[in-house]
Amino acid sequence: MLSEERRLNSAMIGKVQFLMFPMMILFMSFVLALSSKQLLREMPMNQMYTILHSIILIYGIGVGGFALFGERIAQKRFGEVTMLLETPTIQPIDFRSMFLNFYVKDIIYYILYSIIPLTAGIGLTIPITGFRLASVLFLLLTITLTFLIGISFSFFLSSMYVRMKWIFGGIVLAVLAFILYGHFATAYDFTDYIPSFALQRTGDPLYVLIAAVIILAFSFVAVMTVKVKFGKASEKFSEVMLPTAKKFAFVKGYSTFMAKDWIDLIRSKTLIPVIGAYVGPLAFLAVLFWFLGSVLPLTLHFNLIFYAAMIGFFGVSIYGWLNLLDTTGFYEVLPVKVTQIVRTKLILFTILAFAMSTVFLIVLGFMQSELELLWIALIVAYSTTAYTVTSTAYLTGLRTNSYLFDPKILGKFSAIVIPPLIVLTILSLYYPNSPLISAVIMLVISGMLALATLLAFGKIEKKWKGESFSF
Amino acid sequence: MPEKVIGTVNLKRNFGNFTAVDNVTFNVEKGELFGLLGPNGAGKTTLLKLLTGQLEPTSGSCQVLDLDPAKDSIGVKSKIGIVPEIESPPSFLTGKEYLQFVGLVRDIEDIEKKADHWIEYMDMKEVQNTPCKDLSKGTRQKLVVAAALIHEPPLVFLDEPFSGLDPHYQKLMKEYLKGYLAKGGTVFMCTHILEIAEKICTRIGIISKGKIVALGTPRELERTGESLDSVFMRFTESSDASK
Repeated sequence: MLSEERRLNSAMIGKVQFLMFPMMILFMSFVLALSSKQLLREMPMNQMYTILHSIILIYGIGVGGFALFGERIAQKRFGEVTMLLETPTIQPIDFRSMFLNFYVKDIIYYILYSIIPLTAGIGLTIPITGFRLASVLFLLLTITLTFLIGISFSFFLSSMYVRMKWIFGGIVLAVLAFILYGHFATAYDFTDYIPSFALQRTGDPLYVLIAAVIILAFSFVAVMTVKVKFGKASEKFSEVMLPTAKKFAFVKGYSTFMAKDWIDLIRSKTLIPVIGAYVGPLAFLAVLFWFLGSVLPLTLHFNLIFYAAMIGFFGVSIYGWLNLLDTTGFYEVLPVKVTQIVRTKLILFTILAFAMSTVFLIVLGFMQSELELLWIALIVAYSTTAYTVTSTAYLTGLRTNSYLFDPKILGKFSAIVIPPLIVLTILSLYYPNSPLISAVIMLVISGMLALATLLAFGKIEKKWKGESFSF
Repeated sequence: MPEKVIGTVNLKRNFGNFTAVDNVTFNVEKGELFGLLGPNGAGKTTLLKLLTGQLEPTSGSCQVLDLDPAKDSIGVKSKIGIVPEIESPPSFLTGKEYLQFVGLVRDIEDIEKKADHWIEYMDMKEVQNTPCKDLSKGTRQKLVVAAALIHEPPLVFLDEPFSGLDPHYQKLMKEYLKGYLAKGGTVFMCTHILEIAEKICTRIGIISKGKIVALGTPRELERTGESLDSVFMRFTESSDASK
């Protein structure tokens, strides 16, 4: 399974690029560890550990959600990516064992691919920083446990979501209530209740045992309750292709493809995850700022314009989702160009993203009592969204989810997207001091982004015209 | 003089160091049902993809309905119909919607009527509202055949079109092709079912290791009284031996 994972990723992004991702993590942790003395002047060690563990916990939760998509994985992967998951249907192995193998394989893969390089980067600085080897190895142990808690919790939650949504909702509410009560009642710090965090702080080996029990318990319940149906009865749908194409007639030459993508979005039940993938990170951002504000001695307030700039960045996830909806091989036998489909997805994305960002900013404007900033927030949101996603489409075509793992493309993407994002972020923070100057500069930047969007949109044809639909 | 609809000159396609199609030169004339026979991995599908603009050649040239597929793949695909080797219609459209979708893409008239006709012809009424991902292999195959023919193209490329079809639909398909040829259509078909090729093809090419090793009518190939089966084995084995 690990060989298959390695070959799959190597085939998608190339062997060198595949190895560059852990190398990048190693390099970044190396640089951060080298600057630890300066960082320690600004922040106590314990807070640094808390932030590192929080990031690893969120990372683990993020990669562990695959049980949620168990059925979708089963449908999409058969014959396309791997036959391994289908093995239980044709070989004497039950699905639970197969899923457990997948789970363990993913854990090993992510630890080798990210956790170990992260720690190795710190370890390499030992001759310079004088860190003790034992401390680095201890950190490896604690962050591995944090990652395992994250991935097992996420796996557990997603299994609950698929099987018993009310239990899932109950658990999420209980966890949120626990965190919020601890924060607002200043009764406790909830991170003390995460054994790997506590292990890092106290060094008490009892927490290793507690962490192991929690990880095993989450994993056991998840594996026992995971649900994938093979050969389930198919649904019937009434005919909507022609009327839907008529509804999208306003996009002229793209109406047929738009209608197909829209039908896919609805019938694959992906619309809700798409909204989640867009609004989720923003909600995460809000929670993260609240969290950082609670552990750091800083008062953090981010205005509506700040969130407007961030929205554009998160739009990439919607575009990625639209590319995952269906295979595109069948276009190969039709008189259709890859660029037509890339543009279709961009147009559909624009409709979805503009609608969602408008609603999000209006609601947030009300909540933060900043409706007077709405006009400029909307301009910033629309321009950054269009710019970020058109750049993504230009760089990745229909293979967003593979190519964004290619460090070369990720590097280009970062170089294109991050600078304007940073400038807009700084301007949003500067806005209360000088609204007129900030607004004028933001309008100029938004105009430039709109122009760059048009340029990138035009260049998509040249970049992807010779591309095949068969991946 | 017969009208040439497909022509290739020294057509070659490499994948790295592997030569999948090796200096292939042949013509197909209007009204022919040309069968390309060959063992697995001989280069049949690659040749079909080169002719239909799905792949670009490494060297050599080809013309399909007076167009160069390497330069104008969209133009070629607009005129022809293709049944691919792997039947993979879109997942979430129903069978009938897929035909309507193809009709819209190809901008044909009377889309609804034509989609209904093919649904009925292929006996898919019961599953017309089932999403393609839930259809059986045979039904998906019938659907991609219908999608390739819905715009009544003058030339169709069929890659293993009988695969997954039960004998009833194989018969139906053969009858359809006979009628299609009678109306002036041309068919280029890749297959390794020799029995079918022998019965319906007007001309046959045998490909082995990327090279056309035999070309002629079934009667010409069987001139020594051999069955097509023996001819096929002889040519593909001798080609293997020469390597």
